Amino acid sequence: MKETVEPGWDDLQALWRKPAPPPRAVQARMRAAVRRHSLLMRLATLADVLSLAGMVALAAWAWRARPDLYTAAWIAIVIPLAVATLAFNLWNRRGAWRAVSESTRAFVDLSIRRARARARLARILRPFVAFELLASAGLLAFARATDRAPLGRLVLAGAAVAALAAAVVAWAGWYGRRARRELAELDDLRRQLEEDEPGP
Amino acid sequence: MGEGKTPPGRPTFEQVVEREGARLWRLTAGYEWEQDVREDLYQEILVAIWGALPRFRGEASLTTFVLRVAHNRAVSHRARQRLRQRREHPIDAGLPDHRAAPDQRAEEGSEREALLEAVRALSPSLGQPVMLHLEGLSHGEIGDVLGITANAAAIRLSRAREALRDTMRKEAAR
Repeated sequence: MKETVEPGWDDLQALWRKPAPPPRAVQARMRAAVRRHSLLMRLATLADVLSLAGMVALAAWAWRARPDLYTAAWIAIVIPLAVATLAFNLWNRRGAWRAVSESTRAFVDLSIRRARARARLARILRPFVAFELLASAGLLAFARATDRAPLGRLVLAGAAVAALAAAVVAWAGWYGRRARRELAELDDLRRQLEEDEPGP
Repeated sequence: MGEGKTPPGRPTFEQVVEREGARLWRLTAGYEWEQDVREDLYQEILVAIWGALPRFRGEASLTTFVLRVAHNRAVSHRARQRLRQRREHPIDAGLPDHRAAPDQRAEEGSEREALLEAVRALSPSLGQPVMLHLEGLSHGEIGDVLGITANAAAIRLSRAREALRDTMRKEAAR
């Protein structure tokens, strides 16, 4: 980088660079925070991959134990959900790093696109959960009709699925509201960054 | 922090902090005056640099790369701060307080604090090129960081200079 000083800026530049570097205690704390963050990121990715591997292993075990229509339907519901969760988590984490080294204009544009995608995801989640609920209800009804499990266990499974669905819908509502607020703020920021843009 | 896998020619995260830490710390003062918030922003910037460093290919200088990451992180930090402000104080939102507390003024030196306050009072479209120019970047490099032309950077700087000096005069007279 070749340093440039324009007339009228030299005194301001000297003033700007006057302060000391960040205090040592702050530096040490920051380095520890970054180390912690990097460890957490790795652990989160590991947990995602392990949970997908766990679901696949469970599906394989279930299929080997009882290869019938019921198990196939259960696998068809659970595995896409686990894959979608992993894909979303990876997309969310990788996108953040991809955008940050772009120019500010490109970064804000990417952030806007990502906020739109998050808002879209929140909207998609509701029909997705409805589909999962219907499919689970069908499976439970089938299990009841074919006497695959005692009624108490089926009711418990149904309640667990319903509770999970309610939690996901609540989370999607919060996530969607947050994404829309972020989007409004980013649009505003984009406008501010374009103020004083010289005309053609 | 992955230093063992750093390819030759690419600086390690520790080297970046060593070389650019002071510059990044100055930058945080251009966005935030409160020490705690400034430290939060500094931490966010370092985490972002840690995440982005594997993408550094040496097309631009390390300083330009680091400043690009830092300013991007700072604008998203500012957007989040405003969101928080809007939630907590709906009436004051949109009017960020860029003035330092009296003890902060004494610590920084009133002349420098006047400059910082003037920079913080500028709109983002002017404040960013000013901070980059004060770090010694050319118009082309400023354009590269912000995604605008060198000509646009020069025009923004000349508009900003007058606004800056005017605000500084008023702040100094306070």
